[in-house]
Amino acid sequence: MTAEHEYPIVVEGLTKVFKPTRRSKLPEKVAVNDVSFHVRKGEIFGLLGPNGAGKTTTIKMLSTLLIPTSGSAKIFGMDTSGGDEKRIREMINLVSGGERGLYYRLTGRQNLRFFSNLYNIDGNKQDALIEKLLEIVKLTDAADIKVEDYSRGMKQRMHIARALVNDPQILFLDEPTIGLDPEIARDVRSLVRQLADSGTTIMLTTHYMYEAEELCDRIMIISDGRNVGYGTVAELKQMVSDTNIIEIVTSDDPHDTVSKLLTERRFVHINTERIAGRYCTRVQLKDDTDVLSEFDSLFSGYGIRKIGYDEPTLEDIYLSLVGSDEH
Amino acid sequence: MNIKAVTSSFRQQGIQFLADPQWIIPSIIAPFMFTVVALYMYSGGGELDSPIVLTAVLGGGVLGMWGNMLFASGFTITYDRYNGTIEPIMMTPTHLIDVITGRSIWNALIGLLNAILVFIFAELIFGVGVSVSEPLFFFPMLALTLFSLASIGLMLSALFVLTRASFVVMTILEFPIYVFSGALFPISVLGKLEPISYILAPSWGVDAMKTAAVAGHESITAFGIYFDVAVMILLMVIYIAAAYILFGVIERNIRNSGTLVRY
Amino acid sequence: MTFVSERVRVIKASCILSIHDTFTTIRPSLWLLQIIVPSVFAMFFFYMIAGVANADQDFVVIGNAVQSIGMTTIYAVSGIPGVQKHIGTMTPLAISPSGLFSIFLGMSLFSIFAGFISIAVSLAFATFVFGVSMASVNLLSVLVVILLTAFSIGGISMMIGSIGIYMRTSAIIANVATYVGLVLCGVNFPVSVLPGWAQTIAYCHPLTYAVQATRDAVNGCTVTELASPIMMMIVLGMIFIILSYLAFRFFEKLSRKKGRMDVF
Repeated sequence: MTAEHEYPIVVEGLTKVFKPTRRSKLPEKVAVNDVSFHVRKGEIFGLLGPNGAGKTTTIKMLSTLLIPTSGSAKIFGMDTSGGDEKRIREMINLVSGGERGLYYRLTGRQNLRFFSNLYNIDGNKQDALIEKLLEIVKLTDAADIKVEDYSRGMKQRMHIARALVNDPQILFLDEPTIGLDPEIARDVRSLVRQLADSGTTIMLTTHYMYEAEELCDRIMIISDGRNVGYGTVAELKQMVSDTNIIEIVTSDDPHDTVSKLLTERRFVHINTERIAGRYCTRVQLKDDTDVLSEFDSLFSGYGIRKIGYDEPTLEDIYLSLVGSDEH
Repeated sequence: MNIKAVTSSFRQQGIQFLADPQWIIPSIIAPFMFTVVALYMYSGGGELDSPIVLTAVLGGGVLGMWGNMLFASGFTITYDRYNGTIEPIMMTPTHLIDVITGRSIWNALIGLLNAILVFIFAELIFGVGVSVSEPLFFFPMLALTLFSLASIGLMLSALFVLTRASFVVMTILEFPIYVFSGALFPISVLGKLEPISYILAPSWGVDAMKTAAVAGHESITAFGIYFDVAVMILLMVIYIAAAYILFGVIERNIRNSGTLVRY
Repeated sequence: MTFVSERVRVIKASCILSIHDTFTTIRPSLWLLQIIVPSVFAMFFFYMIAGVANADQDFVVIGNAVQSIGMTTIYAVSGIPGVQKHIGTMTPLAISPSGLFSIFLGMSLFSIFAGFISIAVSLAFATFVFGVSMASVNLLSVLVVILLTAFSIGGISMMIGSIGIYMRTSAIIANVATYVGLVLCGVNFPVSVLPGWAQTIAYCHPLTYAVQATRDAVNGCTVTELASPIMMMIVLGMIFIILSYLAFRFFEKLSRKKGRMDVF
């Protein structure tokens, strides 16, 4: 097996700088800054990061939609801006989350047929292909309904069907489950799993940590366009092995105490989430001193249900690497 | 060139058009109104028999074809921007220009419908019938003129890919063809500006159409219809080549700046 | 008083928004170009036809200078509801307590101002490019007439635009409205040539008075001499604004009943 077949995606020093335009008054923006990684054949590779971190820009450079400012992105050994775009495009596809990206006034079937033709798929194979794709995304019954009448989840599944018309060897998924209800999101995830199992190399971006933890073989976390963490979930957990996590579950919102604690420097990260009617506060701290009893008294006024040390989750890793800007 | 993409885009444009045919109407209103005004001006409210009235009606048909062509090629890309389908298209191995070519051919055919509408209205309201002295020449010339407009539309659609202000561009580009094609008045009255007409293929098409339709029409050159056809085809080849080059440049440009997805 | 100041704030905010919106998509130079190019070409186009048809070329050039307001004001203003639907802002606007009329009035103001600019610039071209003599011009009359033209045309445009709240065909309506004046309002040939029913419509359209009053003002008529067309423009402008207020309320209600607010 040659290197480019073992690693269908190889990215080295990838950088994208958006120059300010005369009218937009935007400052020069380094959207992606010297990012390197590679993706193995058949693996699901996750790109995580807050909004504006450069995830979509990276995906666009890999899928030939954007030309990098410097560095290189190679798909099967071919540079995505080196003149082989046509051949690359035959082998890849992209699903973007959100409502847009389909012809609303056409039916699902007409959309698929149009895109099959753009991928130059043999006319007499198209019918069978479209049937198969509709079946995969469970839209057979809605095939002849105009896309404008589709629900959000149906549109998202149609996006996936559209992206499969050329039987891509690499599939990019840019936040494929954004805004979907949990059940449909689960369907989408199992579909992604199936595709990977059948040998498709998948690169996805997501905001949902559990999604990344469930799906991804390896992950890169980017923040402000930079690589801040790269590896398997286990490897990433190693990166924060010196961090202790305390989880305190309370009946009342410990907001006042948490905001007071946030002013202290000794914590890497603190956040509270409401889960099933309880308030779950997770505190990350670097030192090994036993602070359990201190927290026990700090939170006693909120009705402690559970308190103790916990293993770091991907979410903890993410928060400690990216910082709390978003939460 | 991916022929399947061209034919499929042609079909797609057709389906979309039939799903919402109201979009055709704006494109025929202006040229239709202009023709009506020209007919009033030429007739002075009375006499409608002069050959100039017939040429005005034929010219009105050309305005209709152009209005449609321009509106449709502008709207095509704007529609993709709006739908968010422009990136999925760009990501395919098919050149964007193939997609636009297919759509332009459909638009050109609808443009023909526009021309026929103008002829029908001229007949119904003003009683000016389109009588063609040499139909064997006229209809091929009409078709060729239509495709010369389509090739200009193709070239201009590159501009529409670049701009978010497609309506503005449309407004600016609408008139030059009205004026310089000699559709509603002979280009000889343009004086020093007449050479501009020579580089516009439709001017030669209008001339050929009029030569075929109106007995005694004075052609631009002494060489007659065959010369018109030759120049028209040459210009069309130039436009299409320019379109290909322009699209290549533009694709590179938007892949650098990443501005395509805004609308 | 709070009612008035609230209205003023809404109108002002909507006006500022529409100005920002205009100049984020196009540069000011392009904006000016899109006003000038069609206007000058239209003048040129009909000037040529007038030449071939042995008609009065000054008549046509001034007529088209005034008709340039069709694109800048009639099309722009009557298309506003359609644009809002298209970009999906109709629903948030409609659920705000401000009322659509004030919002759309504010959004229209800039286009109405643009109409004024458009006629003024076109008249300059009429003089310098097409040789319309300004030897006996009464500048005050011209100024008053153009201002009132923008005002009255703004009124009729808003009324036409209100239909767009309910109908998905607002693009068509805006287009018809833009060009109907070209045929009916004595822009290129006298209204008297038209059939009787068309003349009736023409005399209900402020553009008819605007076109003739501008020609008279260029030929030296004073404001008092133009009292009658000026009065007509004021009265028609006010009637159309009141009508548009009523129409906005009516179509707003209708589309809330039928759920057509965001259909385009």
